[in-house]
Amino acid sequence: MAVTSPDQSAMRGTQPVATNRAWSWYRVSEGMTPYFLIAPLLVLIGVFIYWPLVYSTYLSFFDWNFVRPDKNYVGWDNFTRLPDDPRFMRALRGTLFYTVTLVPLQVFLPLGLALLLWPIRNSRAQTSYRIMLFSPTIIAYSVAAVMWLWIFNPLQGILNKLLVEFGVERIGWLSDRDTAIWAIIIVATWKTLGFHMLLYLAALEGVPKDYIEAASLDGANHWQIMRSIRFPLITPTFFFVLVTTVISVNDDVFGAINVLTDGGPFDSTTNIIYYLYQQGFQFFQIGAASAVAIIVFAATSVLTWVQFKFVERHVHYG
Amino acid sequence: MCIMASRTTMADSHDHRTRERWNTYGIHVVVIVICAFTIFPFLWMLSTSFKQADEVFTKDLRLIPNAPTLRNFPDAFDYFPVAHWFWNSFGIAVLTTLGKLVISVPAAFAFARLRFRGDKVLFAMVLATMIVPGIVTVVPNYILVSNLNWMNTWAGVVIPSLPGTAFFVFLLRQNVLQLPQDLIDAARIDGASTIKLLTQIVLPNIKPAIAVVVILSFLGAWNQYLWPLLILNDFESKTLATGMQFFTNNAESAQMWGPMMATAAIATLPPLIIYAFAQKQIIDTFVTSGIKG
Amino acid sequence: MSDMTRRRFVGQAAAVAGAAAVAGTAATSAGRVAAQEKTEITIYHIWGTPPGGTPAEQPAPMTQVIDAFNAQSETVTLNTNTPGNYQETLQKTQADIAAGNPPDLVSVPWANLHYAIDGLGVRDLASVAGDRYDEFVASMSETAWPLVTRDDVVHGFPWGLSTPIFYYNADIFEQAGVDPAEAFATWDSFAAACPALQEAVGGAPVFSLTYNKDWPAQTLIQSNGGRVLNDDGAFGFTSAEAKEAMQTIADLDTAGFYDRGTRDELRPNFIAGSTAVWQGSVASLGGLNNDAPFTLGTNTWPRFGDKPVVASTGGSFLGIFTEDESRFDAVLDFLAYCASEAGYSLWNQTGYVNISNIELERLPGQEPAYAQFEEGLILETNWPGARGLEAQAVWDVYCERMWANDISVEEGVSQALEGINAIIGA
Repeated sequence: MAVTSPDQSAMRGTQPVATNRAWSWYRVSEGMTPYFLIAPLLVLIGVFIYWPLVYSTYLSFFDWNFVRPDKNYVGWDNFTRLPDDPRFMRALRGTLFYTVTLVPLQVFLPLGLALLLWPIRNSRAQTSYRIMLFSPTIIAYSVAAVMWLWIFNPLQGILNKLLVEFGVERIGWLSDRDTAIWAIIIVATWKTLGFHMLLYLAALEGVPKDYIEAASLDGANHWQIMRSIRFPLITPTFFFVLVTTVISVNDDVFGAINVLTDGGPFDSTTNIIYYLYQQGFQFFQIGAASAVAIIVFAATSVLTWVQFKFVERHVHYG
Repeated sequence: MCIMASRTTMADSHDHRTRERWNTYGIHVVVIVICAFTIFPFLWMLSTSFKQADEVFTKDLRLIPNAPTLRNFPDAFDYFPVAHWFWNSFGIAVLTTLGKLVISVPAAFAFARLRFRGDKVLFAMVLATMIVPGIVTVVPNYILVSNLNWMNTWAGVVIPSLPGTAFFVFLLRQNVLQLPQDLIDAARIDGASTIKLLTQIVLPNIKPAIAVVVILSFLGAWNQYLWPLLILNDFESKTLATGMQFFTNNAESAQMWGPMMATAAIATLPPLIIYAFAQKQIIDTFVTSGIKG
Repeated sequence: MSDMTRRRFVGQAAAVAGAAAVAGTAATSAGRVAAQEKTEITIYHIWGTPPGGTPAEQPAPMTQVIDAFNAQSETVTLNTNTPGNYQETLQKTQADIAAGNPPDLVSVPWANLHYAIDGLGVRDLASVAGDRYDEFVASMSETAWPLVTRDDVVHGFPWGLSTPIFYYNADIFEQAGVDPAEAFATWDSFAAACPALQEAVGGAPVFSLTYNKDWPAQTLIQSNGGRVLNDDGAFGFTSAEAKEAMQTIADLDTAGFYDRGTRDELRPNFIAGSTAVWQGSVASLGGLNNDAPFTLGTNTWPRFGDKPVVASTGGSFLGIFTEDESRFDAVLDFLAYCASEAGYSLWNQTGYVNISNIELERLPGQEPAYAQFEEGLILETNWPGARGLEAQAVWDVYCERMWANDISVEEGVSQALEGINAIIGA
């Protein structure tokens, strides 16, 4: 990954190209110091991220309820019974639905907003706008969910009260299987809008001024600059937002599901993360939960690899 | 002729400026609408937190209560150990932030400026953790925390959360890489040891990035949900985020919307205040270090 | 009391080598230098929230019992913890047992008796009570003990026994000109009364059934002569009687009388006067009396024609999970207090049926519960096998779906049977 930017080179004046120069002060042997510096991080990662992956794989072949001293070996059973479990299939469908709806909403919509905000980025109201737009992101998911729980209340909530004012029939937002999942999606979108928008704004601002100046001197207008210079140069940010959103979107809605619907009504808002939680901590089926965890990890890795392989080639690293 | 031409040009540019001004107004209007969508839940929450029970459960729509009350706030503290929850949230957030800094800054420095055997592989292993979704490690970590007897303790929540810092390591490393060469060279010539290099030269110069790590870590830990939900089972050891869920889950308290919204208000204040003060800082750091690759 | 303490002390000291007095052994937390050392025991229960009012004004009855016990005990301190609802309490118990740190007492739902025995290793009462066993058995009503007994072994202390009943808003009934006794007589008469009630609530749904649908479903099916789980272990919810019972609610939903709201919405809707009828546990009586701003009425379940109402149990028993023998006495002291007049009269404020042998005044509105209790209650369905909890969840969802007409009753019960069989591995 390239590290330098035009600004930096300008600062360094006539010094030679980055890569050669950079090595000039690397010492081949620093002794043990580097290892001490990275040790705490690596130890913690090993214990709390890599070891669990191994242990989860191990546990997925057993039947255990966390309390019994003995674990029963069941081979691949925890995996093979999943396709036959209608609750699991519903969780899969939910996962897909969330991914397909939330990724565009959380990746493209904020981009549109950032572009919208861009022309007025220097206005005085700008700071207030940013604070307001970012406010949903910084509060806890459960707090957000409680606020929306009250909004969605069928008899006392503001949404249904407004509907009744306009003569429309009340909607059972969280109790109707058709609307419940959209309720979760609304909350999730509301929550991440600001953060991603901020990232895009930062990326737009970070485009080096020289490029812009050079282009406008050449006679390019506002739109042409946007299209051929800014856009390509914010693709790294776009890619980053895309990859992280795909990984975390189902994880994120957990708080909302837990507070608003508990997976219901009739398992219509559940996803694979929630299924894992229920298996492990409501039904105490540690083996089954571990099997699902491994599947989630495998799926995430594959998805990430696919994005790197097929999408990254369009990213301009400048 | 010249005069006529210039008058036309002036008229043209006047039209152009008018159109631009309308465009700008238009954009402001749209942005304001979106802002309204973003903050109306907060407004509704605040409105309810100042209402008495009979106004909460009324048939009509009222944003400003007729008989506002401050009772919901002390009541919230009465019904549930909200003060404890606040303290737990705060303590966990602070410890998580400090912990992440302590492990991330030296590592970022080492990966950026030092060369040692396995540096590429180890850095890749750190970055790779970004694609592991939190849920995947939950069960084994839960078992581990239980075996270590860390249930219901801050340690049980904080320590397993510390490794979730790959992004910060990446960000900090970017910043260290972009420090001017001369600075480092000068220090080396002066015979500075590696540690001195880190503490006296590098650290002071990446303050903005550290500020961002502090803010984002704090917010992340303050708002953490699933992990504290599992580890903090005791009533009084919950955090604000998980305590709120308890409020709604419980049959008797599920209708106490006044105190519930008051608690929600209390829970949202610290993050909002922090962000209001620090938002420029956050953007600046993203701009300079960027996600450029 | 002190007489027995001395006798027990002598007996215990012989058995437990090196144990100091009954009071003040290793149970106290590290670093505590207490002037008077008491045995500390812990209880996890669910009754932490006060039924209306602030805790300062009126703490929850269980809190009152525990506080009163602590105040009068010279040898024991009972520490409490209210982790949340039943599921969260179970989860915490599970975690602590796994960590080697089990609580002493836990309120375990009747429905989880088998899981507590097989999965969590709850102690049987005889092993803890020793020679005080008979004294304990005599202290509680003999109708209660079979509920905690399996294979002739008693596994807990019966404590919170409830049964599902119907609550209604008497003011709305009056406004609608409906006579409650008539309305609740049979399901047919209930259906006939609904239109008038619906008008009185402005078109909103008329009634709702409590949060875990499988609980009222059991009473519903049983009252029509069916069973969810037969005594021989076979599933009975696919019988004609069961299906007919479930269809009754589904029909009321088609007519728009049934409230499909989420679990968090139902009780608040009732309190707010937005619905007229709420089926809940008699244990909520104390709380509702405090919260409801209207005249509260209670009634037994409507009957299916001539068939009697056969209700299920609700609530929980106190399970003992102590590993440390030196704490047995402390636990028994508390249980004895619970069964005593001082303790039980505090507990009686809740609405739970009085299963002690003490004559206590019944709460106004409790009559339907006693009527059902005297008819004979059937224990909550204990879903068999290690995956029983999951099976229960599956059945719960199907009940919800059938009642909301999300699936036909025919399809619902057969799919439920399939799903449950797959889980239990029949």
